[in-house]
Amino acid sequence: MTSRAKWLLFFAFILFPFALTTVTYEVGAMRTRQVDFCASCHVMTPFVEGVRDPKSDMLAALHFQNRWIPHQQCYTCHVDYGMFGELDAKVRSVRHAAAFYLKKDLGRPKLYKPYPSRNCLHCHQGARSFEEQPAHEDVKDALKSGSASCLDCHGPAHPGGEG
Amino acid sequence: MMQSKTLTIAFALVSTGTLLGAAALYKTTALSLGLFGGVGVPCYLLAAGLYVYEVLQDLKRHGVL
Repeated sequence: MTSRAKWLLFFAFILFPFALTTVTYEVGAMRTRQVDFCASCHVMTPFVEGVRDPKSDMLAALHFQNRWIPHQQCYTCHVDYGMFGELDAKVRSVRHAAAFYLKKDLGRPKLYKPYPSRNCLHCHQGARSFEEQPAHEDVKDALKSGSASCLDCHGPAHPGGEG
Repeated sequence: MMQSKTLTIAFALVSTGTLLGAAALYKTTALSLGLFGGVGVPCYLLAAGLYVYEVLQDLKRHGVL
């Protein structure tokens, strides 16, 4: 193999695929945070229709329609915070997709673990509306420790949810 | 030079990966991204493996290794 051929093939088989994979990963990761991406799976349609329903007063719909979360609403609530939060969310989404295609589990997707209130507290903790609300006084510590859930009182977040 | 059969296979693998990558960029859905990650990236890895294998064989032929 001539040196020139080696470099050409190195570009074609190593550098170009690496560059395209990096770009696809970055662009893909950015787009998967959009609500429209979540809506691209048919099983998610009831959830996305629910948050967009102008008559709905459910928790997710209120956050979406009032723009309490301005962008990437599904992602903001469903990605756990911390170093591996996004990676964990991606793994869970792949598990959902695998269950859909391989196990033919075509029903309503369920969370693999109870919804963590620390995701709510990521925005609400420290806010006057949360800290000074008299009803929160007795449960504040339990919410922060994770032994109580915001959804116990405010849920379910989506139509048909369990709270 | 890389064996022509190996070269053809490697180009086919890279083309497959590139098509799936372009599809994922054009319309990003769970399916298009999943196909790129599950099929396209392994195709790229195989093509890269073939390239490295052929380069090593070439170096051996020339007594470098």
